[in-house]
Amino acid sequence: MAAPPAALLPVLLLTAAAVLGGPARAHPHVWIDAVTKLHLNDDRRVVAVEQAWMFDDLYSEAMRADLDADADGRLSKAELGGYADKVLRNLAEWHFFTELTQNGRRLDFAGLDGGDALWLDKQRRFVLRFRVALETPVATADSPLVLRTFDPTYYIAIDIAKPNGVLFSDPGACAADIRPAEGAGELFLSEADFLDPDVNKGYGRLFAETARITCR
Amino acid sequence: MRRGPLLTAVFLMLCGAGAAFYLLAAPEPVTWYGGLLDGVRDLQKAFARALGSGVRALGDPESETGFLALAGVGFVYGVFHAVGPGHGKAVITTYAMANETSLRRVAALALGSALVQGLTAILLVGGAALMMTGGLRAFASDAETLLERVSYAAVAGVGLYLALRGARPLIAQWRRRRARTTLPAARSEAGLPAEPEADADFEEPAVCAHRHLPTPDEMARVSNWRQAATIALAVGVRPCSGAVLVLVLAFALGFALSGVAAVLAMSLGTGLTVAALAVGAQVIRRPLIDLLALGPVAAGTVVAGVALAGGLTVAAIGLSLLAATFGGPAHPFA
Repeated sequence: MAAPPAALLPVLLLTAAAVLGGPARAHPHVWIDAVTKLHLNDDRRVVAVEQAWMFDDLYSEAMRADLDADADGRLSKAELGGYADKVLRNLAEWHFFTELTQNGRRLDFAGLDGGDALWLDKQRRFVLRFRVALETPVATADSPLVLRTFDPTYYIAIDIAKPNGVLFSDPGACAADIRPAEGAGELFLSEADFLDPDVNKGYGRLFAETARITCR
Repeated sequence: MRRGPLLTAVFLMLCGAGAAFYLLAAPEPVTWYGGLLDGVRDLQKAFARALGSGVRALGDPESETGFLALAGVGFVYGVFHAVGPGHGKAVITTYAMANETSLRRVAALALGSALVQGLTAILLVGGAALMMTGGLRAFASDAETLLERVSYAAVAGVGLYLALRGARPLIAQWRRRRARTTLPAARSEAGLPAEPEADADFEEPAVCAHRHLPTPDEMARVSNWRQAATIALAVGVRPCSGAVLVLVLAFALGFALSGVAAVLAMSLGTGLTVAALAVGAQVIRRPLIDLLALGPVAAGTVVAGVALAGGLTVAAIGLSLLAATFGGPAHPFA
């Protein structure tokens, strides 16, 4: 039976599934305002990345209430430390949600260089901080670094804090040019992005702002 | 088939219009949609803030309307939460698109599944709160990981069931046609024309599709309600993460009832949005089927084909989500 429309139907519906089903897993439930600080050595090479993530009000309040195991209304060092240890251990398997590239090549991290969690009483926000060292220090004079901070699963939406979301240990030496996310429009142009099984690409990357970093 | 050229012309015109739209609007053909999603995303972020301060305000003796305000924020959060992509919406709109059912039932399915999601979260966090103080969130996350898999597997199962139901008339038709291919030989032996009523064979399923006999229709209605309930359960077994956070906070601060009310309001908001989408899908379903049935394929075959493809789509959504829960390490914050 020569029936183009009937043959088209499954194609249409499966396309709809790709559009609906791909992002089906992905909508943010937690929001982070991220401040990222790049550490430079004396040669003005970038040696480490430090992240400070401030969580949204709902998550902040929920964690403050929930982590307070002894219910004394305050988060003790031990209560905060237990949380930070667990999360940072897990984050190591996700490249710390931090992507630093140069000439399109991803730079490797040597590993975690310390971190903690804290409660900002004035802002009433919960904060996670950590620092990761680069495997090899990198100069940026010839070609800029591109920084993206994102959760590939997009369970968490991470925005670069405004106005000063990208900082440098040597403030005069470097500059960051922050550009908006590629956004959902990309979804229809490059399906490969969210079909890619690589944990470090993923759907969330489409929603990551990029910071182009150059140091003199 | 005299309608063939007409249909081909319509199809080519649609393709042409699509290509023209794409070329004219290039290089950013869907910017408006991306812009819409960006806007919704910003709103959702604002709601996370409002929910946090809403629960906080419950502890403020000055604020007397805290309870209502929180429920209100929950409702609007729910409405906007459902505008972005989500697994429940994908499953339910696909079901509404692929299966003939009443608008009331579609709306009930959407509202029901959102309500089940809210209730799952309430039972989960409420149960945990009875057993322990603190650590509710960690407990709920572990349970979510499990329930998520149960839900996705159930969605895949429902999809396969729907696909099988769609395939049944197609298989029956194929059997009939195969039986017929042996017929012409017998006919020519008997000195009769080989194909006396080829067209009539195609019309037969169309009659089925347009004129339901009362009894099968009633039966279909019952099984449709059962299908709807099964889908609502399959989708809703996975608790809503946003609701879990609100409940963890409300229970920990001792405002359990306000938290429950806020989550029910949230479910209502989500359910209404999904219901609107699903009802829309059901409404445009009929004209689309009629358009497809203009072609050489009988309406009954089109209906069955759509049901089959819809079931496969739902199964594909369930399976891809299920596979994703096994791929990669556990989420650091979930």
